[in-house]
Amino acid sequence: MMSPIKILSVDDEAPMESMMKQFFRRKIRSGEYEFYFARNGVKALEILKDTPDIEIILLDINMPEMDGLTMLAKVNEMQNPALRVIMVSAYGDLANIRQAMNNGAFDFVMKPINLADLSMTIEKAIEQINYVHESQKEHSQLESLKKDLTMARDIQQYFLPQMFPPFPEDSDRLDIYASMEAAKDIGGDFYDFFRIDDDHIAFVIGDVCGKGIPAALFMAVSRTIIRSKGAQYGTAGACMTESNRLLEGYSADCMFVTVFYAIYNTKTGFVTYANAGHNPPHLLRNDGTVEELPRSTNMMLGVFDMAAFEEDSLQLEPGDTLVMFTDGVTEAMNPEGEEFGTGRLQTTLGGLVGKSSQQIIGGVRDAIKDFADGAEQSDDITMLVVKRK
Amino acid sequence: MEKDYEVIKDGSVLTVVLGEELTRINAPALMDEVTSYMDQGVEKVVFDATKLTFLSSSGVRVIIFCKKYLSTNSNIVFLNCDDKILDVLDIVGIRPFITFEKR
Repeated sequence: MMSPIKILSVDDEAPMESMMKQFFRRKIRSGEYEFYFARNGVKALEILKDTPDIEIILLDINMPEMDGLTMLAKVNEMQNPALRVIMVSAYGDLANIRQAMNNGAFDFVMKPINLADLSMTIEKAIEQINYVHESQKEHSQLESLKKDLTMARDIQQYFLPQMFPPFPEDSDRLDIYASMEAAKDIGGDFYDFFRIDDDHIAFVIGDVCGKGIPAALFMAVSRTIIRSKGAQYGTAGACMTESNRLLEGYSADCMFVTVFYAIYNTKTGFVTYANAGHNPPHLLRNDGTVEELPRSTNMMLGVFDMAAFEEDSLQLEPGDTLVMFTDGVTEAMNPEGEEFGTGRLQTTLGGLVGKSSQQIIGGVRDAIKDFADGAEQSDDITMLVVKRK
Repeated sequence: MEKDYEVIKDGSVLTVVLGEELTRINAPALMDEVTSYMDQGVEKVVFDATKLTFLSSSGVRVIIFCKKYLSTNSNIVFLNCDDKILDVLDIVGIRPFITFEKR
């Protein structure tokens, strides 16, 4: 059952109370309305203090001790957005009515009160009050949704390995660092690395299309599938082919993920990889030259289940670094709407030769930050850097 | 956001005249609109990219949807596509199933 609308009638004329009770008796009996009565503003404020859920006030203008306009000002101070004040005034008291309306009164009725008219005015006020309650409810739902999104983003961060060095037993020949700087809206970037066998470590960087909860969910599924298929299939091409086949089944509304998947031989520095529609990583050679890996003809994952994924390979010599990243790096914008771009990335990387993987990521992030010059980050900025020692 | 694209069906050809950007802001609405042409005998979808300067991954989804679901293996044509857009289509790997035309 709905709780009653609480109405406070403030009037110094004694007959008002019995008149209201008589006219609205059915509504009172059925529990729709609950009336409170006060003879002056001071008493009315006490009642309001004790019963803060009163939402309609019928307020006489001319009263002893505290007049209606002063009381209206006090009511406004309470800042209850659902509260509606209906002024009750002597016939022809237009100046006071105008002032009350300017000060936020909802409506007015004139004495002698036409009770049918008052009833309609109260109904109208209730409609507005219900609307305010609805909006407040939606607002709190929105707040709770925002909290959920923040939690989802935290959970998403837990999916990403945070412990560095991830393979301490290989620290003397391999330097790995990664970071994901999340944009304001939850996105679908991820990175991952895991050991396949004694001599091989897999590296993954991915970017799910779009943003929000669908992207975050698809990211979680993608990462899990790639990890399990990576452990099962020893080659990058087979891992991508199998992951694609499975992901296509989960891809509602043509969701997709671009992935760069590499298998690194810790003994020889030889890398085999399959690029599934991801922007090509860069290779920072020990002599300071920077190369973009060749484009692949492979497609992103999750689109066509029959797609086959070709492999490529490269050799990392000691001091060489493989820099994998998502398009949040190259598409970071400055206030003029220019993109950071591949050129600036390559120049930045060239200046970071000899640095550790963590320093390289820090250097690129600083360069992006300087370039963005305070412009809002619209996409996740994710990097995974692998350096052969 | 104001609608900045236009969808016109002429026989079995669906033409999508794109605005300057196709991103997650306007791509969902375009996706809804093209969805309404499912099973309507569309065999070819022409994306007029004359004005297009930015295509995000959400926009790529619309192209894939047209290819996969609008009919059995529809022909996808891009009209007046600039190099930057071509680059995006190339990287994600869907360039091979798109025909490019200049007018």
